[in-house]
Amino acid sequence: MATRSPLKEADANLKHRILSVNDRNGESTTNITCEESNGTKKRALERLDLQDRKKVKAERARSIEGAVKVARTTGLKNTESKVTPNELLEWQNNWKKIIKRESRIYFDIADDADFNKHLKSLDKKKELLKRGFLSLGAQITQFFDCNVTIVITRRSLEALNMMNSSDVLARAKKSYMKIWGYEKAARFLKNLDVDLDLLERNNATPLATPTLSNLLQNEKLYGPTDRDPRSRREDVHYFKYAHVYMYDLWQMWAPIITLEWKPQELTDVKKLPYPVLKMGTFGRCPFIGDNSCDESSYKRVVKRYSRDKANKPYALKLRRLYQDYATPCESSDHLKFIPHTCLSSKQCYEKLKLKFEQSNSQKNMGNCSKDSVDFKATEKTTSNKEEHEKPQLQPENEVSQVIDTPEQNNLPELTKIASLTRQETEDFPDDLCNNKKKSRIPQEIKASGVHQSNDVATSFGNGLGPTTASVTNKNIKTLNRLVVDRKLGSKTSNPVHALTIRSLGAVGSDGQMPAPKACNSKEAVLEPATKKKTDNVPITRRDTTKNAGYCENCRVKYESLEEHVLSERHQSFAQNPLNFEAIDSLIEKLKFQF
Amino acid sequence: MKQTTAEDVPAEIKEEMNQLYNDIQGLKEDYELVDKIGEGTFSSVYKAKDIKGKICSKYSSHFWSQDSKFVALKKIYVTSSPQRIYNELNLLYILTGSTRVAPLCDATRVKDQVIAVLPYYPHEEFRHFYRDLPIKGIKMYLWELLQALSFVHSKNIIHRDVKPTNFLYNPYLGRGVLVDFGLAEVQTETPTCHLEEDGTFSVKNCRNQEQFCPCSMRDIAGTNQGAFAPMITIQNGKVVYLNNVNGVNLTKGYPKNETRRIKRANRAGTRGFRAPEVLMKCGSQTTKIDVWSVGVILSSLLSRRFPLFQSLDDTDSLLELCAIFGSKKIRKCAAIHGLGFEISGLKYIKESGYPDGLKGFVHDLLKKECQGGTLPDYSIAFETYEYLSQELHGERTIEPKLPDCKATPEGPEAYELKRYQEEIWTDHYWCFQLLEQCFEMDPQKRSSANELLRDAFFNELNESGVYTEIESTDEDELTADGDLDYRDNDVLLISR
Repeated sequence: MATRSPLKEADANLKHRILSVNDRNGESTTNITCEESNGTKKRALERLDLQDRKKVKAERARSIEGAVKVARTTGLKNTESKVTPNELLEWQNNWKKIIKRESRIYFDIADDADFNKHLKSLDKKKELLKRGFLSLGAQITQFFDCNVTIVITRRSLEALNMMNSSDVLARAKKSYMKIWGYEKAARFLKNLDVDLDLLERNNATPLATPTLSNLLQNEKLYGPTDRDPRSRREDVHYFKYAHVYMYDLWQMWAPIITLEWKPQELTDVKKLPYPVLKMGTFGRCPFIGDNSCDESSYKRVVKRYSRDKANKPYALKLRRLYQDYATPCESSDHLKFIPHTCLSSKQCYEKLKLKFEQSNSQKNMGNCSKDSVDFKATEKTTSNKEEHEKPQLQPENEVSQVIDTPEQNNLPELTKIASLTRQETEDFPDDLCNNKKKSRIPQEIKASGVHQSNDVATSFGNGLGPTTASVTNKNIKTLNRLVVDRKLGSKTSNPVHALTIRSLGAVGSDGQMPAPKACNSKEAVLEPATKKKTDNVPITRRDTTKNAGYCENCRVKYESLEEHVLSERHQSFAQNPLNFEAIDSLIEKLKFQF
Repeated sequence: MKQTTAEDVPAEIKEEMNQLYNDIQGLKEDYELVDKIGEGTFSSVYKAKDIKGKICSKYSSHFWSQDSKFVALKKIYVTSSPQRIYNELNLLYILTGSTRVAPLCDATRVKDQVIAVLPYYPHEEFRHFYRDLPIKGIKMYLWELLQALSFVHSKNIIHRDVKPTNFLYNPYLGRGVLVDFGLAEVQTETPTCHLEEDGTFSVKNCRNQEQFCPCSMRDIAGTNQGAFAPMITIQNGKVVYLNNVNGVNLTKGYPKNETRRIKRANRAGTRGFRAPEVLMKCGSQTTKIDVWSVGVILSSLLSRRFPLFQSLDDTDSLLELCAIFGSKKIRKCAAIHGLGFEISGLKYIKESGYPDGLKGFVHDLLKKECQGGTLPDYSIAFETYEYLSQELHGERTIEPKLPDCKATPEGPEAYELKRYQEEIWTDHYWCFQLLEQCFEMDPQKRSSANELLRDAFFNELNESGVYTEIESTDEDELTADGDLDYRDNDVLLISR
């Protein structure tokens, strides 16, 4: 018993008294209580009084310590001569609270030797007491531990002091638990108006001997009671293969991630269905890597070299601004370079050039390859650049000019080269060589929108879709998924994932699942088409994907934004100023400032 | 940066701008649309000229150049609910008061079309400078970003969508401004469990509330192990799972027919920038989720990779975190939020994470580029690479060493270079410390924006004291800018 509530403390005296009465006059008190078996509140009160007086006598006889104690109690007794019905009611209420809230009752299993004859009747009594306490909401524990507050035993309590210190009762006494005999327990229950006889009569003792029918019923509902909880069950899917599982430890919520892959899905190292660090180079996302782009290829080396050349003034300007202080300042005299031993794009280029020159000198000028012509072409562009570049620490206007149009000068020629050389396809996603020129309007990674859940239904279009907290049938989910996928077209379901097991709780929408290639599927599909068009590219792209979406105001999905906005429903919403009251009041406040 | 001329603007955008003039009567009188400058998920942004100059003069402290005439018009898509729009505008209004947060200068509504007017900031795209920004530039970038967040968080607001596109930065000026509060929200009070009469918390009752997460209970229920431990007991020598009627062990599999609800939590934000607690659907998310996003940006800048995470969905995001930090760390983090995490059979996802942690990861990313020759000869990234190589693989010397190579200069020049290197090395040291703090898995232990600003990395900026405007109290603000008097009062009222 770790803590004692003040309430309990108040009751402790009372109980001790009852207990000691028990100890002393065992037989006789039992008789009395037996007679009083149909005790009402009033009678209980009288009995309590009687016990008190008896106890006074008994304790006085016991010890000096007891005497002192008794003196005190009698003193109290004298002032409040009798336990009033109100006091009893209070006592009952207090105990009911205690029993309900913090009592843990343990039934001692050991028996005195001579009890063996009435074992059966005692067992019955035990069940009865258990039910009595349970009816008060008490907790009955199977095992004895330090949290137990009341121990109920059928052993004689007289030998308590002589017991082995490892005995349950001795330990209970040591930790100030209450130790009650069966009679005492029965009396206690009676004082709390628990009619044990009625309980005995009413209940066909299902606790003691469960009937076959209710056993079967329970088994049907909960499965066999002797089942090992660790044993496998029909209705649970157990992971067999590689998996990821994130679940609520308290099992209140559905799991967050349930993913499982068959071994054959994990065989192709290049197309693993989960994120893998591919590292890559040239500023690319390490989880995407370089893919098919070979940065050491001739064309890429040349391209990178000219890109870096064009970018040099800008980079050096940043260096100068932040060389000595975090606050940008121009003043710095000269640029400091910490020497390094790394390979740079320039070295790559020069190495390559050297190699070509050597091979050319070997081969003669006659059958000179196209590549060497290319080299001359790039040489020309780069030397042009060099002129711009020489006055490195020069005015920003020139710098900014270069920043604004970093590639315009050399790109046409580069594309010419590209058409001449036989290399892999152009346009790698996230290619730094392209992106400075391309983005008129900064392309951003789309915000996921405002989804509250991982529902597939919400993660499409403009991301405003509603969220549902329902448990949806798996089949319906799959259907939903299909519908969404078809409509948007751009979300290609990946063959790699066809076999992937994703249950309800799985995070994210299945439509846009991993697989390295899928990431850029949108980009990749659109890329070749948009390549030839120039500035209007982003807009056409937007139109195709953005037209469909969800209107929060009308709570409908729409196919075409333009059409939806003109619809009667939307218009009636839009025309009603009441819908915009809060915004209007804010606008009012803003206008007020001018 | 770019001066746009009318000819540069494509026909489609001109069309759009004309449409906007038509939709919003009276817009023409105040603003002259110049170009379209941005497009988000919920809005389009146009650059416009403030014809009457009202806004530019009123909010002059916010504009980066004093003679600026341009404002940004944010056209919020009509499919957004008025509540959502109001939330954004109101938050912007509350947040007027820091030059690092774009203030709401004006707004107008015609039917369902709402236009917000914000200052125009001539910023540079992140993609343009992330590979070339020196460490001290990174310092300034972070300083500005954290100052902005510190202010936002002081008003108890979570931005939720911190990423480079929402932080407009101009490296020439060293100024940045946080924009787009479309997903922002006021941090909700952590739902504390009711104290029972007998002085114990009934964690069990909280468990089925969506906004409850065991992570919020740790300080209160320090003694109450029940908040984290699964509810199991041993009866008749067998493990019984109290929460499930059937007493089924669901740690090794899931029910084929799921009857439990799916937990929902606010996940708004951008993939790749979400903190682990967001991915784990923690019900009591705090402003610390923004600090995680700062960490993602910082590691992008240090490793010169953008984006750093691919994150096709939340599961992938978590697995990407596993790949870098190790599944052990993620499992520990999951436990904080009352979740179990099992991962098996994935060859490339290890318990312990990337060797040498974040430093090792950044080092190897740079190494790839150094070996592949994909960095220009003038690249600033070599500094970070040399620093990390020396710290991770060099001898344990505190003294920074110039790498052995022919080009190493001598004499006074060498001395100067050495001093420069020492300075840069120090910056890198503190910067990586800061990075670790941003990527602390436990949101409670993760430093706040304010704490990070006091980090040693920012010593030189803290000492200069020029840029610590945020720390000024509201009263300072009032005296500094008398015009804003009444507005600040309003702000206080609203933010209560």
